[in-house]
Amino acid sequence: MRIAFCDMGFSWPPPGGAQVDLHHTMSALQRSGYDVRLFAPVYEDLWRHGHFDPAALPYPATPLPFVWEKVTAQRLCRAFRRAIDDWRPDVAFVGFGRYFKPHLIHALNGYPIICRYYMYEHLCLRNFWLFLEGQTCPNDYLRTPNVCRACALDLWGPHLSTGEWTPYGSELLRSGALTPGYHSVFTRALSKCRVVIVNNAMAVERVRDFCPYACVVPGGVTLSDYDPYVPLEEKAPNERKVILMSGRADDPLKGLDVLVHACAALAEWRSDFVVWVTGLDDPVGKPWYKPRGWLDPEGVRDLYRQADIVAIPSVWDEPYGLVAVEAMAAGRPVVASRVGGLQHIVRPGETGHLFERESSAGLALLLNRLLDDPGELRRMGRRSREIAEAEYDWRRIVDTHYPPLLERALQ
Amino acid sequence: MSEVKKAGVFYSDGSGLAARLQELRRRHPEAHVTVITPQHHSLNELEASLADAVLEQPHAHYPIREPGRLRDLVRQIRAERFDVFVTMYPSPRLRLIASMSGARRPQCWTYESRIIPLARTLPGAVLAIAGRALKGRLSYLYWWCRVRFHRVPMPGEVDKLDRTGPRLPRR
Repeated sequence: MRIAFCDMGFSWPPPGGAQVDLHHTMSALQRSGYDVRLFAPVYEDLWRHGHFDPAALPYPATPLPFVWEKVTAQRLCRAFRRAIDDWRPDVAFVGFGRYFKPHLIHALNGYPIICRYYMYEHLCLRNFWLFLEGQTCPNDYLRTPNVCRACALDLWGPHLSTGEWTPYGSELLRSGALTPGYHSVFTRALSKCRVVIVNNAMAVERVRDFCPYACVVPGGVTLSDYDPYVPLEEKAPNERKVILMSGRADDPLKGLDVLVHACAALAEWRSDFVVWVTGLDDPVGKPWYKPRGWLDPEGVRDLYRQADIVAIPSVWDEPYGLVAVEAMAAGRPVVASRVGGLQHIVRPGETGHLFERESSAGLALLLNRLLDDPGELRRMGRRSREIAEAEYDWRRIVDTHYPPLLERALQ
Repeated sequence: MSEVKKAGVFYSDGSGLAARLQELRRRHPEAHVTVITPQHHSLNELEASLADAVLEQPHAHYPIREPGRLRDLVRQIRAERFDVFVTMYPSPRLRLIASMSGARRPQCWTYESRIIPLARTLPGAVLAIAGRALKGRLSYLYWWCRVRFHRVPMPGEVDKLDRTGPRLPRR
Protein backbone atom coordinates (compact mmCIF):
# COMPACT_ATOMS: atom_id res chain seq x y z
CA MET A 1 0.00 0.00 0.00
CA ARG A 2 1.28 3.48 -0.90
CA ILE A 3 0.97 6.17 1.72
CA ALA A 4 1.86 9.80 0.97
CA PHE A 5 2.79 11.78 4.07
CA CYS A 6 2.16 15.48 3.55
CA ASP A 7 3.67 17.75 6.16
CA MET A 8 3.79 21.51 5.90
CA GLY A 9 6.21 22.04 8.77
CA PHE A 10 8.74 19.26 8.41
CA SER A 11 12.34 19.96 9.36
CA TRP A 12 15.20 17.65 10.11
CA PRO A 13 16.84 17.83 12.65
CA PRO A 14 13.41 18.25 14.19
CA PRO A 15 12.37 21.46 15.93
CA GLY A 16 9.63 19.68 17.89
CA GLY A 17 7.72 16.52 18.72
CA ALA A 18 5.43 16.62 15.66
CA GLN A 19 8.32 16.00 13.29
CA VAL A 20 9.71 13.25 15.51
CA ASP A 21 6.31 11.57 15.59
CA LEU A 22 5.91 11.71 11.82
CA HIS A 23 9.45 10.47 11.25
CA HIS A 24 8.98 7.42 13.46
CA THR A 25 5.53 6.63 12.10
CA MET A 26 6.93 6.65 8.58
CA SER A 27 10.00 4.63 9.51
CA ALA A 28 7.93 1.99 11.32
CA LEU A 29 5.39 1.71 8.50
CA GLN A 30 8.20 1.33 5.99
CA ARG A 31 9.75 -1.43 8.07
CA SER A 32 6.33 -3.12 8.16
CA GLY A 33 6.29 -3.26 4.36
CA TYR A 34 4.28 -0.15 3.45
CA ASP A 35 5.46 2.05 0.61
CA VAL A 36 5.78 5.51 2.18
CA ARG A 37 6.96 8.87 0.85
CA LEU A 38 7.24 12.26 2.50
CA PHE A 39 6.12 15.45 0.73
CA ALA A 40 7.15 18.63 2.50
CA PRO A 41 8.05 22.19 1.56
CA VAL A 42 11.56 23.55 1.98
CA TYR A 43 11.96 27.30 2.32
CA GLU A 44 15.04 29.10 1.09
CA ASP A 45 14.27 32.23 3.12
CA LEU A 46 13.88 30.53 6.51
CA TRP A 47 17.04 29.89 8.46
CA ARG A 48 16.02 27.41 11.12
CA HIS A 49 12.81 25.70 10.05
CA GLY A 50 11.65 24.21 6.76
CA HIS A 51 14.89 22.46 5.85
CA PHE A 52 15.75 18.80 5.43
CA ASP A 53 18.11 16.70 3.39
CA PRO A 54 16.19 13.84 1.71
CA ALA A 55 19.40 11.79 1.58
CA ALA A 56 19.62 11.89 5.37
CA LEU A 57 16.15 10.40 5.86
CA PRO A 58 15.54 6.63 5.97
CA TYR A 59 12.49 6.89 3.68
CA PRO A 60 12.03 8.58 0.30
CA ALA A 61 11.12 12.24 0.43
CA THR A 62 10.09 14.86 -2.10
CA PRO A 63 11.03 18.40 -1.08
CA LEU A 64 8.80 21.09 -2.53
CA PRO A 65 10.88 24.27 -2.89
CA PHE A 66 9.22 27.51 -1.80
CA VAL A 67 9.99 31.06 -0.82
CA TRP A 68 8.10 31.78 2.39
CA GLU A 69 7.43 35.39 1.43
CA LYS A 70 5.51 34.20 -1.63
CA VAL A 71 3.60 31.27 -0.15
CA THR A 72 -0.15 31.27 -0.48
CA ALA A 73 -2.64 28.50 0.26
CA GLN A 74 -3.29 28.08 -3.47
CA ARG A 75 0.39 27.77 -4.42
CA LEU A 76 1.14 25.38 -1.62
CA CYS A 77 -1.87 23.19 -2.35
CA ARG A 78 -1.19 23.14 -6.08
CA ALA A 79 2.40 22.02 -5.50
CA PHE A 80 1.31 19.27 -3.11
CA ARG A 81 -1.46 18.07 -5.42
CA ARG A 82 0.87 17.92 -8.42
CA ALA A 83 3.57 16.01 -6.54
CA ILE A 84 1.07 13.59 -5.04
CA ASP A 85 -0.73 12.98 -8.32
CA ASP A 86 2.63 12.04 -9.83
CA TRP A 87 3.12 9.38 -7.16
CA ARG A 88 -0.51 8.13 -6.96
CA PRO A 89 -0.76 6.95 -3.37
CA ASP A 90 -3.58 4.81 -1.96
CA VAL A 91 -3.88 6.97 1.15
CA ALA A 92 -2.80 10.53 1.94
CA PHE A 93 -1.69 11.23 5.49
CA VAL A 94 -1.80 14.92 6.39
CA GLY A 95 0.67 15.72 9.16
CA PHE A 96 1.65 19.04 10.66
CA GLY A 97 0.26 22.19 9.12
CA ARG A 98 -1.09 25.30 10.73
CA TYR A 99 -3.77 27.47 9.16
CA PHE A 100 -3.16 26.08 5.65
CA LYS A 101 -4.06 22.53 6.65
CA PRO A 102 -7.80 22.61 5.84
CA HIS A 103 -6.95 23.97 2.38
CA LEU A 104 -4.54 21.09 1.83
CA ILE A 105 -7.19 18.56 2.81
CA HIS A 106 -9.53 20.03 0.19
CA ALA A 107 -6.72 20.05 -2.37
CA LEU A 108 -6.24 16.30 -1.84
CA ASN A 109 -9.87 15.66 -2.71
CA GLY A 110 -10.32 12.16 -4.10
CA TYR A 111 -7.68 10.50 -1.94
CA PRO A 112 -8.67 8.79 1.30
CA ILE A 113 -7.25 11.09 3.96
CA ILE A 114 -5.95 10.39 7.43
CA CYS A 115 -5.34 13.62 9.28
CA ARG A 116 -3.06 13.92 12.30
CA TYR A 117 -3.29 16.78 14.79
CA TYR A 118 -0.25 17.12 17.00
CA MET A 119 -1.31 20.13 19.00
CA TYR A 120 -4.77 21.65 19.17
CA GLU A 121 -4.73 23.12 15.65
CA HIS A 122 -8.30 21.91 15.13
CA LEU A 123 -9.56 23.64 18.25
CA CYS A 124 -7.54 26.80 18.86
CA LEU A 125 -7.19 29.49 16.23
CA ARG A 126 -5.14 31.72 18.51
CA ASN A 127 -1.95 29.66 18.78
CA PHE A 128 -3.08 25.99 18.88
CA TRP A 129 -2.35 25.77 22.61
CA LEU A 130 -5.95 25.78 23.84
CA PHE A 131 -4.46 27.41 26.89
CA LEU A 132 -5.64 30.74 28.17
CA GLU A 133 -5.08 32.56 31.45
CA GLY A 134 -3.32 29.61 33.05
CA GLN A 135 -5.90 26.95 32.20
CA THR A 136 -7.36 24.87 29.39
CA CYS A 137 -9.63 27.09 27.29
CA PRO A 138 -13.30 26.06 27.47
CA ASN A 139 -13.98 27.41 23.95
CA ASP A 140 -12.96 25.87 20.67
CA TYR A 141 -13.01 27.09 17.09
CA LEU A 142 -15.40 24.38 15.95
CA ARG A 143 -18.15 25.50 18.33
CA THR A 144 -17.36 29.16 19.03
CA PRO A 145 -15.66 30.46 15.87
CA ASN A 146 -16.45 34.13 16.51
CA VAL A 147 -15.04 34.04 20.02
CA CYS A 148 -11.93 32.29 18.71
CA ARG A 149 -11.48 34.71 15.81
CA ALA A 150 -11.62 37.63 18.24
CA CYS A 151 -9.23 35.84 20.59
CA ALA A 152 -6.77 35.22 17.73
CA LEU A 153 -6.96 38.85 16.69
CA ASP A 154 -6.37 39.90 20.31
CA LEU A 155 -3.09 38.06 20.23
CA TRP A 156 -1.97 38.85 16.71
CA GLY A 157 -3.46 42.33 16.28
CA PRO A 158 -0.65 44.35 17.86
CA HIS A 159 1.83 42.26 15.95
CA LEU A 160 -0.03 42.73 12.65
CA SER A 161 -0.18 46.47 13.16
CA THR A 162 3.63 46.72 13.15
CA GLY A 163 3.73 45.35 9.61
CA GLU A 164 6.52 42.93 10.62
CA TRP A 165 4.72 39.63 10.39
CA THR A 166 6.07 36.38 11.74
CA PRO A 167 5.38 33.16 9.80
CA TYR A 168 2.46 32.49 12.18
CA GLY A 169 0.95 35.93 11.69
CA SER A 170 1.32 35.98 7.93
CA GLU A 171 -0.06 32.43 7.64
CA LEU A 172 -3.06 33.50 9.69
CA LEU A 173 -3.80 36.18 7.11
CA ARG A 174 -2.79 34.32 3.95
CA SER A 175 -4.92 31.31 4.83
CA GLY A 176 -7.98 33.49 5.42
CA ALA A 177 -8.33 32.02 8.91
CA LEU A 178 -9.91 35.21 10.23
CA THR A 179 -12.59 35.31 7.54
CA PRO A 180 -16.05 33.95 8.36
CA GLY A 181 -15.82 31.50 5.44
CA TYR A 182 -12.82 29.72 6.93
CA HIS A 183 -15.02 28.01 9.51
CA SER A 184 -16.94 26.26 6.78
CA VAL A 185 -13.69 25.35 4.95
CA PHE A 186 -12.42 23.98 8.24
CA THR A 187 -15.45 21.88 9.21
CA ARG A 188 -15.89 20.53 5.69
CA ALA A 189 -12.21 19.53 5.66
CA LEU A 190 -12.64 17.64 8.92
CA SER A 191 -15.69 15.85 7.58
CA LYS A 192 -13.71 14.81 4.49
CA CYS A 193 -11.05 13.04 6.57
CA ARG A 194 -11.78 9.36 6.92
CA VAL A 195 -9.78 9.28 10.15
CA VAL A 196 -8.67 12.08 12.46
CA ILE A 197 -5.87 11.21 14.87
CA VAL A 198 -5.31 13.31 17.97
CA ASN A 199 -3.19 13.02 21.07
CA ASN A 200 -5.56 12.79 23.98
CA ALA A 201 -9.11 11.93 25.00
CA MET A 202 -10.17 15.56 25.51
CA ALA A 203 -9.27 16.36 21.89
CA VAL A 204 -11.26 13.32 20.66
CA GLU A 205 -14.26 14.43 22.67
CA ARG A 206 -14.25 17.89 21.13
CA VAL A 207 -13.72 16.82 17.51
CA ARG A 208 -15.90 13.70 17.44
CA ASP A 209 -19.05 15.42 16.14
CA PHE A 210 -17.23 16.97 13.19
CA CYS A 211 -15.53 14.00 11.53
CA PRO A 212 -16.42 10.42 10.62
CA TYR A 213 -13.93 8.88 13.04
CA ALA A 214 -11.54 10.31 15.64
CA CYS A 215 -9.08 8.39 17.79
CA VAL A 216 -5.95 8.69 19.91
CA VAL A 217 -2.68 7.20 18.74
CA PRO A 218 0.05 7.60 21.35
CA GLY A 219 3.55 8.66 20.45
CA GLY A 220 6.43 6.28 20.93
CA VAL A 221 10.12 5.65 20.45
CA THR A 222 12.28 3.27 18.43
CA LEU A 223 13.82 1.30 21.23
CA SER A 224 16.74 0.13 19.13
CA ASP A 225 17.78 3.78 18.82
CA TYR A 226 18.37 3.72 22.56
CA ASP A 227 20.81 0.83 22.32
CA PRO A 228 23.20 0.32 23.90
CA TYR A 229 20.91 0.67 26.87
CA VAL A 230 22.99 2.10 29.69
CA PRO A 231 21.26 1.47 33.02
CA LEU A 232 21.52 4.23 35.55
CA GLU A 233 24.67 3.75 37.60
CA GLU A 234 25.57 5.30 40.92
CA LYS A 235 27.86 8.26 40.46
CA ALA A 236 31.21 8.62 42.20
CA PRO A 237 31.03 10.87 45.29
CA ASN A 238 32.82 13.75 43.54
CA GLU A 239 30.79 13.42 40.34
CA ARG A 240 27.78 15.70 39.88
CA LYS A 241 24.40 14.22 39.03
CA VAL A 242 22.81 15.45 35.83
CA ILE A 243 19.27 16.86 35.65
CA LEU A 244 18.33 17.08 31.99
CA MET A 245 15.67 19.20 30.35
CA SER A 246 15.25 18.08 26.77
CA GLY A 247 13.14 19.60 23.99
CA ARG A 248 12.48 23.21 22.99
CA ALA A 249 13.66 24.79 26.21
CA ASP A 250 13.44 28.29 24.72
CA ASP A 251 9.65 27.90 24.40
CA PRO A 252 8.11 29.59 27.48
CA LEU A 253 5.40 26.90 27.62
CA LYS A 254 8.05 24.30 28.38
CA GLY A 255 8.66 25.91 31.76
CA LEU A 256 12.42 26.42 31.79
CA ASP A 257 11.94 29.24 34.30
CA VAL A 258 10.21 26.80 36.69
CA LEU A 259 13.21 24.49 36.52
CA VAL A 260 15.64 27.37 36.91
CA HIS A 261 13.84 28.64 40.02
CA ALA A 262 13.70 25.14 41.46
CA CYS A 263 17.38 24.54 40.83
CA ALA A 264 18.36 27.96 42.19
CA ALA A 265 16.68 26.90 45.44
CA LEU A 266 18.28 23.48 45.21
CA ALA A 267 21.70 25.09 44.74
CA GLU A 268 21.36 26.67 48.18
CA TRP A 269 21.06 23.22 49.77
CA ARG A 270 23.48 21.21 47.68
CA SER A 271 26.07 21.42 44.91
CA ASP A 272 26.18 17.84 43.67
CA PHE A 273 24.09 18.43 40.54
CA VAL A 274 24.25 20.14 37.20
CA VAL A 275 21.37 21.11 34.91
CA TRP A 276 21.74 20.37 31.21
CA VAL A 277 19.35 22.02 28.80
CA THR A 278 19.01 21.35 25.08
CA GLY A 279 19.19 25.00 24.16
CA LEU A 280 21.79 27.49 23.09
CA ASP A 281 21.21 30.32 25.53
CA ASP A 282 22.35 30.70 29.08
CA PRO A 283 19.75 32.83 30.86
CA VAL A 284 21.10 31.87 34.28
CA GLY A 285 24.86 32.36 34.25
CA LYS A 286 25.43 29.96 37.14
CA PRO A 287 27.95 27.13 37.30
CA TRP A 288 25.18 24.55 37.76
CA TYR A 289 23.52 25.47 34.44
CA LYS A 290 24.88 24.27 31.14
CA PRO A 291 23.24 24.81 27.73
CA ARG A 292 24.08 21.82 25.56
CA GLY A 293 23.16 23.31 22.21
CA TRP A 294 20.61 22.29 19.61
CA LEU A 295 21.36 18.64 18.95
CA ASP A 296 20.40 15.97 16.46
CA PRO A 297 18.40 13.00 17.84
CA GLU A 298 21.50 10.87 18.48
CA GLY A 299 23.07 13.74 20.39
CA VAL A 300 19.94 14.01 22.53
CA ARG A 301 19.92 10.27 23.21
CA ASP A 302 23.51 10.55 24.34
CA LEU A 303 22.43 13.23 26.82
CA TYR A 304 19.71 10.91 28.17
CA ARG A 305 22.34 8.21 28.72
CA GLN A 306 24.45 10.60 30.76
CA ALA A 307 21.51 12.05 32.69
CA ASP A 308 20.30 10.91 36.12
CA ILE A 309 16.90 12.63 36.11
CA VAL A 310 14.84 14.09 33.28
CA ALA A 311 12.78 17.14 34.24
CA ILE A 312 9.72 18.20 32.20
CA PRO A 313 8.33 21.34 33.85
CA SER A 314 5.79 22.21 31.10
CA VAL A 315 3.26 24.84 32.12
CA TRP A 316 0.65 24.16 29.42
CA ASP A 317 -1.43 21.07 28.71
CA GLU A 318 1.12 19.15 26.65
CA PRO A 319 -1.02 17.33 24.09
CA TYR A 320 1.17 14.29 24.54
CA GLY A 321 4.67 14.58 26.09
CA LEU A 322 7.05 12.63 23.92
CA VAL A 323 10.09 13.68 25.95
CA ALA A 324 8.78 11.60 28.88
CA VAL A 325 8.59 8.52 26.67
CA GLU A 326 12.09 9.15 25.32
CA ALA A 327 13.45 9.43 28.84
CA MET A 328 11.73 6.17 29.80
CA ALA A 329 13.22 4.43 26.77
CA ALA A 330 16.65 5.55 27.96
CA GLY A 331 15.80 4.16 31.39
CA ARG A 332 15.74 7.47 33.21
CA PRO A 333 13.22 8.60 35.83
CA VAL A 334 11.06 11.57 34.93
CA VAL A 335 9.93 14.45 37.11
CA ALA A 336 7.13 16.20 35.24
CA SER A 337 4.35 18.68 35.85
CA ARG A 338 0.85 17.26 36.21
CA VAL A 339 -0.49 18.47 32.85
CA GLY A 340 -2.02 17.12 29.63
CA GLY A 341 -0.63 13.85 28.34
CA LEU A 342 2.31 13.86 30.76
CA GLN A 343 0.14 12.88 33.69
CA HIS A 344 -0.88 9.72 31.84
CA ILE A 345 2.67 8.73 30.89
CA VAL A 346 4.51 9.25 34.17
CA ARG A 347 3.53 6.81 36.91
CA PRO A 348 4.21 8.55 40.22
CA GLY A 349 6.46 6.56 42.52
CA GLU A 350 7.08 3.98 39.81
CA THR A 351 8.74 5.74 36.87
CA GLY A 352 9.12 9.21 38.35
CA HIS A 353 7.12 11.91 40.04
CA LEU A 354 4.55 14.56 39.18
CA PHE A 355 4.36 18.06 40.63
CA GLU A 356 1.73 20.76 40.26
CA ARG A 357 1.91 23.10 37.29
CA GLU A 358 4.39 25.98 37.80
CA SER A 359 5.32 24.80 41.30
CA SER A 360 9.06 25.33 41.40
CA ALA A 361 9.03 24.56 45.14
CA GLY A 362 7.36 21.21 44.46
CA LEU A 363 9.91 20.44 41.76
CA ALA A 364 12.82 21.42 44.01
CA LEU A 365 11.60 19.12 46.79
CA LEU A 366 11.16 16.18 44.43
CA LEU A 367 14.57 16.70 42.84
CA ASN A 368 16.15 16.98 46.27
CA ARG A 369 14.53 13.76 47.40
CA LEU A 370 15.62 11.87 44.29
CA LEU A 371 19.17 13.20 44.39
CA ASP A 372 19.39 11.90 47.97
CA ASP A 373 18.32 8.41 47.00
CA PRO A 374 20.39 6.83 44.21
CA GLY A 375 18.76 3.45 44.85
CA GLU A 376 15.33 4.90 44.13
CA LEU A 377 16.65 6.56 40.98
CA ARG A 378 18.01 3.25 39.68
CA ARG A 379 14.79 1.39 40.52
CA MET A 380 12.67 3.99 38.72
CA GLY A 381 15.04 3.97 35.77
CA ARG A 382 14.77 0.20 35.39
CA ARG A 383 10.97 0.28 35.65
CA SER A 384 10.79 3.11 33.11
CA ARG A 385 12.70 1.05 30.60
CA GLU A 386 10.50 -2.00 31.21
CA ILE A 387 7.35 0.03 30.58
CA ALA A 388 8.83 1.66 27.48
CA GLU A 389 9.67 -1.78 26.08
CA ALA A 390 6.18 -3.09 26.80
CA GLU A 391 4.12 -0.10 25.66
CA TYR A 392 5.97 2.60 23.78
CA ASP A 393 8.01 0.96 21.06
CA TRP A 394 7.09 2.56 17.72
CA ARG A 395 6.97 -0.78 16.00
CA ARG A 396 4.41 -1.99 18.52
CA ILE A 397 2.37 1.22 18.40
CA VAL A 398 2.28 1.33 14.61
CA ASP A 399 1.50 -2.38 14.28
CA THR A 400 -1.32 -2.04 16.78
CA HIS A 401 -2.93 1.19 15.64
CA TYR A 402 -2.20 1.87 11.98
CA PRO A 403 -3.34 -1.24 10.01
CA PRO A 404 -6.95 -0.90 11.25
CA LEU A 405 -6.85 2.86 10.59
CA LEU A 406 -5.50 2.40 7.07
CA GLU A 407 -8.14 -0.24 6.44
CA ARG A 408 -10.82 2.13 7.68
CA ALA A 409 -9.48 4.89 5.44
CA LEU A 410 -9.66 2.62 2.40
CA GLN A 411 -13.20 1.43 3.05
CA MET B 1 27.48 31.75 -0.59
CA SER B 2 31.22 31.42 -0.87
CA GLU B 3 31.72 35.11 -1.73
CA VAL B 4 30.94 36.07 1.86
CA LYS B 5 34.29 36.79 3.47
CA LYS B 6 33.14 38.87 6.41
CA ALA B 7 29.91 38.60 8.32
CA GLY B 8 28.76 40.75 11.20
CA VAL B 9 26.00 39.94 13.69
CA PHE B 10 24.59 42.88 15.59
CA TYR B 11 23.41 41.57 18.95
CA SER B 12 20.99 44.05 20.47
CA ASP B 13 18.94 41.98 22.86
CA GLY B 14 17.07 38.70 23.32
CA SER B 15 17.84 35.05 22.89
CA GLY B 16 19.00 32.94 19.97
CA LEU B 17 22.39 34.53 19.20
CA ALA B 18 24.16 31.17 19.22
CA ALA B 19 21.56 29.61 16.93
CA ARG B 20 22.08 32.40 14.42
CA LEU B 21 25.86 32.12 14.65
CA GLN B 22 25.64 28.36 14.12
CA GLU B 23 23.51 28.80 11.02
CA LEU B 24 25.74 31.59 9.71
CA ARG B 25 28.75 29.29 10.08
CA ARG B 26 26.87 26.52 8.27
CA ARG B 27 25.96 28.79 5.36
CA HIS B 28 29.28 30.60 5.11
CA PRO B 29 31.94 28.27 6.51
CA GLU B 30 34.78 30.44 5.19
CA ALA B 31 33.48 33.71 6.56
CA HIS B 32 35.09 35.64 9.38
CA VAL B 33 32.26 36.24 11.84
CA THR B 34 32.21 39.28 14.10
CA VAL B 35 29.66 39.80 16.85
CA ILE B 36 28.87 43.40 17.75
CA THR B 37 27.52 43.41 21.25
CA PRO B 38 26.95 45.83 24.10
CA GLN B 39 29.65 45.66 26.76
CA HIS B 40 27.29 44.44 29.46
CA HIS B 41 26.39 41.31 27.49
CA SER B 42 29.19 38.82 27.85
CA LEU B 43 29.02 36.01 25.32
CA ASN B 44 28.59 32.54 26.77
CA GLU B 45 31.02 29.73 26.02
CA LEU B 46 29.12 28.47 22.98
CA GLU B 47 28.56 31.94 21.49
CA ALA B 48 32.21 32.83 22.00
CA SER B 49 33.33 29.63 20.30
CA LEU B 50 31.23 30.46 17.23
CA ALA B 51 32.53 34.04 16.82
CA ASP B 52 35.92 34.93 15.36
CA ALA B 53 35.88 38.41 16.84
CA VAL B 54 33.80 40.45 19.23
CA LEU B 55 33.30 44.18 18.82
CA GLU B 56 32.14 45.46 22.18
CA GLN B 57 30.10 48.64 22.34
CA PRO B 58 29.93 50.92 25.37
CA HIS B 59 26.18 51.41 24.89
CA ALA B 60 23.16 49.17 24.44
CA HIS B 61 20.83 51.92 23.22
CA TYR B 62 21.19 54.58 20.57
CA PRO B 63 18.61 57.30 21.26
CA ILE B 64 17.91 59.95 18.64
CA ARG B 65 18.82 62.75 21.07
CA GLU B 66 22.36 61.42 21.27
CA PRO B 67 23.40 61.08 17.64
CA GLY B 68 27.06 60.80 18.65
CA ARG B 69 26.53 57.26 19.89
CA LEU B 70 24.99 56.13 16.66
CA ARG B 71 27.71 57.89 14.63
CA ASP B 72 30.46 56.07 16.53
CA LEU B 73 28.71 52.75 16.14
CA VAL B 74 28.17 53.19 12.40
CA ARG B 75 31.76 54.29 11.90
CA GLN B 76 33.02 51.13 13.57
CA ILE B 77 30.68 48.88 11.65
CA ARG B 78 31.54 50.46 8.31
CA ALA B 79 35.25 50.07 9.03
CA GLU B 80 34.74 46.30 9.21
CA ARG B 81 33.48 46.19 5.57
CA PHE B 82 31.04 43.34 6.12
CA ASP B 83 29.59 41.37 3.23
CA VAL B 84 26.66 40.23 5.33
CA PHE B 85 25.28 42.19 8.28
CA VAL B 86 22.71 40.38 10.41
CA THR B 87 20.36 41.93 12.94
CA MET B 88 18.24 40.03 15.44
CA TYR B 89 14.97 41.94 14.87
CA PRO B 90 13.45 43.96 12.03
CA SER B 91 12.73 46.98 14.24
CA PRO B 92 12.93 50.48 12.67
CA ARG B 93 16.08 51.36 14.59
CA LEU B 94 17.89 48.18 13.58
CA ARG B 95 16.75 48.68 9.98
CA LEU B 96 18.38 52.11 10.04
CA ILE B 97 21.61 50.79 11.53
CA ALA B 98 21.69 47.98 8.96
CA SER B 99 21.15 50.43 6.09
CA MET B 100 24.14 52.45 7.28
CA SER B 101 26.36 49.40 7.84
CA GLY B 102 27.76 49.54 4.31
CA ALA B 103 27.27 45.77 4.00
CA ARG B 104 26.38 44.30 0.64
CA ARG B 105 23.67 42.18 2.20
CA PRO B 106 22.03 43.62 5.30
CA GLN B 107 19.59 41.04 6.64
CA CYS B 108 17.43 40.36 9.63
CA TRP B 109 17.30 36.80 10.91
CA THR B 110 14.20 36.69 13.04
CA TYR B 111 13.63 34.37 15.95
CA GLU B 112 10.81 32.71 13.99
CA SER B 113 13.33 31.66 11.36
CA ARG B 114 12.69 34.22 8.63
CA ILE B 115 15.52 35.89 6.73
CA ILE B 116 14.38 39.38 5.76
CA PRO B 117 16.54 41.32 3.31
CA LEU B 118 16.92 44.90 4.57
CA ALA B 119 17.42 48.10 2.61
CA ARG B 120 21.00 49.07 1.78
CA THR B 121 20.46 52.79 1.79
CA LEU B 122 19.09 55.19 4.37
CA PRO B 123 16.22 56.49 2.15
CA GLY B 124 15.35 52.89 1.29
CA ALA B 125 15.21 51.99 4.97
CA VAL B 126 13.04 54.99 5.81
CA LEU B 127 10.65 54.10 2.99
CA ALA B 128 10.51 50.47 4.08
CA ILE B 129 9.79 51.46 7.69
CA ALA B 130 7.02 53.87 6.70
CA GLY B 131 5.53 51.43 4.20
CA ARG B 132 5.42 48.59 6.66
CA ALA B 133 3.95 50.70 9.41
CA LEU B 134 1.20 51.90 7.09
CA LYS B 135 0.52 48.44 5.70
CA GLY B 136 0.40 46.98 9.20
CA ARG B 137 -2.04 49.53 10.55
CA LEU B 138 -4.33 49.29 7.55
CA SER B 139 -4.29 45.47 7.73
CA TYR B 140 -5.11 45.50 11.40
CA LEU B 141 -7.97 47.91 10.88
CA TYR B 142 -9.31 45.79 8.03
CA TRP B 143 -9.14 42.53 10.00
CA TRP B 144 -10.52 44.12 13.13
CA CYS B 145 -13.61 45.21 11.13
CA ARG B 146 -13.90 41.78 9.49
CA VAL B 147 -13.79 39.97 12.81
CA ARG B 148 -16.03 42.42 14.59
CA PHE B 149 -18.74 42.94 11.97
CA HIS B 150 -18.55 39.99 9.59
CA ARG B 151 -19.39 36.99 11.67
CA VAL B 152 -19.80 33.26 11.26
CA PRO B 153 -23.51 32.51 11.70
CA MET B 154 -23.51 30.38 14.85
CA PRO B 155 -26.87 30.66 16.63
CA GLY B 156 -25.78 28.92 19.81
CA GLU B 157 -22.52 30.76 20.30
CA VAL B 158 -22.06 32.89 23.38
CA ASP B 159 -20.88 36.39 22.53
CA LYS B 160 -17.69 37.13 24.40
CA LEU B 161 -16.42 39.88 22.18
CA ASP B 162 -17.45 42.55 24.63
CA ARG B 163 -15.00 41.76 27.38
CA THR B 164 -16.17 44.57 29.62
CA GLY B 165 -19.82 43.65 29.89
CA PRO B 166 -21.70 40.53 30.91
CA ARG B 167 -21.47 37.59 28.52
CA LEU B 168 -24.87 37.28 26.87
CA PRO B 169 -26.11 34.74 24.35
CA ARG B 170 -26.35 36.11 20.81
CA ARG B 171 -29.82 36.79 19.52
